[in-house]
Order: sequence, then C-alpha cells, then structure tokens
Amino acid sequence: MRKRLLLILMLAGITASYVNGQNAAESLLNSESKLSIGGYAQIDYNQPLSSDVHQNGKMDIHRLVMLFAYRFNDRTQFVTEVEYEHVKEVYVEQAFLNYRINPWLNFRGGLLLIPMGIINEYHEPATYNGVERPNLDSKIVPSTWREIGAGFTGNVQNLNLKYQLYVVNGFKSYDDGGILRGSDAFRKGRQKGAESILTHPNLSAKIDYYGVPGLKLGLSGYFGETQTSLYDGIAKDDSALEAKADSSVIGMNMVGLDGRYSIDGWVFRGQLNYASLSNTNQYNAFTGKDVGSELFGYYLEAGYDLLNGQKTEQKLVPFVRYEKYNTHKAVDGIEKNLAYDRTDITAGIGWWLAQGAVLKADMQWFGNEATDDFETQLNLGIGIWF
Amino acid sequence: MIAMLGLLLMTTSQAQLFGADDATSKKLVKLLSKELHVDRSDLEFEKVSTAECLQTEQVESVLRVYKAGKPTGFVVSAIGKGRYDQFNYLVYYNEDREVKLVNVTAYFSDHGNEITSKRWLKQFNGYDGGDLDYGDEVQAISGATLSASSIVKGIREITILLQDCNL
Repeated sequence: MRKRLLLILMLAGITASYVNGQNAAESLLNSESKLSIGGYAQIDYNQPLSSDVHQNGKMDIHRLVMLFAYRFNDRTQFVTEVEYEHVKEVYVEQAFLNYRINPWLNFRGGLLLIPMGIINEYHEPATYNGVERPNLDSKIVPSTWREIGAGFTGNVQNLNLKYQLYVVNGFKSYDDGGILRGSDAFRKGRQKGAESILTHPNLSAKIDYYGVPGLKLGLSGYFGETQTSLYDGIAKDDSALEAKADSSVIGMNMVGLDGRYSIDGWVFRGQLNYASLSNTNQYNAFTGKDVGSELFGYYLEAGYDLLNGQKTEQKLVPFVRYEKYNTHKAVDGIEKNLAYDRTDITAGIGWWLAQGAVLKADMQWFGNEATDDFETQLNLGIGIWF
Repeated sequence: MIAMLGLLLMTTSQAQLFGADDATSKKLVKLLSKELHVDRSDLEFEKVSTAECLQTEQVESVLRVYKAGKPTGFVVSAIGKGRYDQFNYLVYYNEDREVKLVNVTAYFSDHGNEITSKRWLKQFNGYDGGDLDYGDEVQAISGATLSASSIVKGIREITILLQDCNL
C-alpha cells in the first residue's frame, strides 16, 4: 500500500508539473528568448546654406549599431552594442554584464554608458526630435560617453525611483600632448574602452523619478579627475616629474538636470548641465590648450503630434528646440573665447512611419557671441530602431 | 485510488496557479484580496482551459475568480517584451470584462522598469476594449518605449479577445 501511495504521489507530481508547464523564469529562458537582437541607425544629409562660398552637402551613414543581449539565467545577462560610425569606424558602444540580485539591486560591470542627461543613455534616433542630437549633448556632455567601470543600479518601486551608481574610468587629458580643448571640453578625451589608461577612478551617478505618469525627471552627477599618460614609469619619489604630471590632469564635477513630459500629443523636454573644472590654468599653460574652467548649457524643446488621437501608429511631430551652451562660461588664466558661447535653434518635423522608423527634416541656425550672423543648415535624415 | 489522484492534482494546481511560480500566485491572492476587500481565504481560482478565442502569443493562462463562491471576474496572466527581455504581468477583469487592475509580476531587465509604476498602470483601469494607443490614451513613458507599448498592445488585444470570448 505504501509503495502504491508513493507511486501515486510521484505520478501526481510528474503530471502536475507537466500540466502546469513552465514557470515565468523558464518561459523567459526558452531558447528563442535567450538571445535578443536589436539595433538602430541614423542616415543623414546635412547641407550648409548660408555662405558666400560653395559648400558640399554631406551624406553619411552616421551610425549603424547592432545590439545583442544574451540572458544566461533569470539573473544574469550580457548586453552589447557594436557600432559602425561613418561606415568605416568600428566601436563598441556598450558591453556589460548585469547581475540582478533583486529588483532594487543589480550589479553591473563592463563598458557602460555614463548616465548624464537624456541623450547619452537614450540616443536611438526614433526617441528624439531632429536629425542631429542636441549640441549640448556633444560639446558639454560628450555623447556617446561610455567608459569601462562597475557599480550598481536598480529601481525602488515604492518611491518610483531608478538609481545608477558606477565607478568608471575617466577622460584622458594627456598622451604625448594635451588632448582636451576649449571648443568641446572633454569630447576628444573619451577613451571608449579602447586600451584606456587609468590613473584616477571617477564616480558617476544618476537618479530618475517617474512617479507622475508622462513625466520623467533626472538628476545626474559625475565627479573625478582626468587620466594622463605622464605618471607611467616615473619613480615614486620623483616629485619634479610628479608635479609635471599633475599639470596634465584636470579635476571635474559635472551635474545635470533633465525632464521629459508628454501629455495629449504634446512632448516637452529640457536639460541643463553645469561643470566646474579645476587645474585648467596649469593644464592650459602646460599644454598650450584653452580649456575653460566652467561649462554651462541647457536646451528646451517642444513638439506636438499632429496625428494624436488618430487611429494610427504613425506620428507627425513638428518641433522647436532652443539651445544655449558655453564651454567658456568661466576661464582661468586665459581669455574667454566668445565663439564658444553658442546659441542654436532647430525647427523641423519628424514623421514616424512606425514606432521605430522615422523620416526627419529640419533647419538649424547656429549663432555665437563673437558674431551677429547665424549660420544655417538643412538636415534630412532617416532614423530606425528595432 | 483515482479519486485520491484527482484530489492530489487539484490541491497541487490550486497552490500553484502559475506553474511552479508560487510567488506569483501568492502575489495575485494578496493583490485581489485588497482590490476586492475580501479575506484571502474567501478567494478561489479556477484555471480556464485557454479557449481558442484567447489563444495568442501573450496569454499564458486565464483564471476564473470566485469571491465566497460567487464568480467575480477573470485574471489573465500574460507576457510582454521589453528591449532586452520578456516580462510577466497580470490583468484582473470584473464580470463585465473591464480592466480593474494591472500588475507587473516579474520584470527582469532594469531597462524600462518604469512600467511597473502603480500610478502608470492605473491608467488601464476601466478599459473595456476601445481605443488604446500608446502616447494617446495611454501616456508615454520616456525611456521605457518598448516595454510600455508592448503592455499597451497586449492589454488591448487581450481585452478585445476576452470581450468576444464565450467563457
């Protein structure tokens, strides 16, 4: 009798698990869903218009990015994006391992996007207006800004907060000469995880609040010092060479505020960035560069979906963006270059044929404080994201 | 003996409404006892053999809900797709097959996690199969486009199917 009961129990167990089928984790991990493939691309035509001389238009596959994500189990995932820029340059845009300890605590390590502002993390062309990304996200926040590092991220559901906290490698300011410059501050110093050198670890953090439907607010911070090749190989008691190497380092604190709001077809977004740089006086004197000691910029953008409320997946969004950004907000020991105090106006339209496919057209007016004239440019673009 | 076998099967499937995923079952009981203002022990569930009319990729299982023995709606457990990953959610419908509660029960990726916000999910309450477009009737969430539109499409499709389904 006992044997029978055991047999029945076993049978029941087997049948039950067969009937009940897969659990959430198992269904997630069937072979089809272990590997995700995605990608985005941006194909641009830029035509400068206001000039006394003939100027070439430029047609470019600006970016073509392939995404692969592989899930090992319900906690462990690897994500990478391989980027072709201007067809012939190959980069790795992201490559990280994510381990979910629980929903509010994930460990993440590898080549990470620095969470600063909107575009650096969310830069797929179907997610923003305009053929080109805002210039604030090029000259002050050097998108796509990514470095190797590790840290934690997670969501505190009850507070509707997402946080990210990483220790990462920083910009390279010196390697056989100064690298950073006044016009775009840190942009040329991005190491992108390519044989990057580390002398000073940096801290990157962001908090996003999403508790009000339609609204997302972000507060980001980045703190640290740049990297230099000059410490390598010098004796640890050689204070003269150390002092020289110190002159090739810039300290930086950058903060960012961003907001996005959408309601009844209206879309608004804005971002503000401020950075304070130290040691620029010594750096500029040592390298002959013209890096400012404070950077400041912001943009505001509004758009309206003309097809809002229509029974269609399509969107037709005219928009206007006003940007102001100054990489010489303050200087230390050099003259301010007024041409670095810039104002850009962008106005155009985007036609989303599907959520991930968009045709864009816009005009841009670029001005700066050194001149009264605005340069104009026509942009046409195709953006895809899947 | 057969009766015993049947009894065993029944108890197993009652405790585990969603396969081996017992945590989801517990979560469902907790959510619904709060929503319907009843004691947990007064709630009963019966798995509906997913009729043809509800067979879509997203639907995992459908449960009939009983409150103190009286039918009080349906629960659909479904799968959505984010940028890197799938996620699981539950939709509770009343007897008129209107959405009364949506809950994301398992979200694996940290990307797009914003859709688990209870305030955002409240937008679906009262939905009964009309227009439901992401960015129009449902407010968009920046940074969670794929997950959010997946759950919007899913809820719309499931609701329309359920409305026409003879369960």
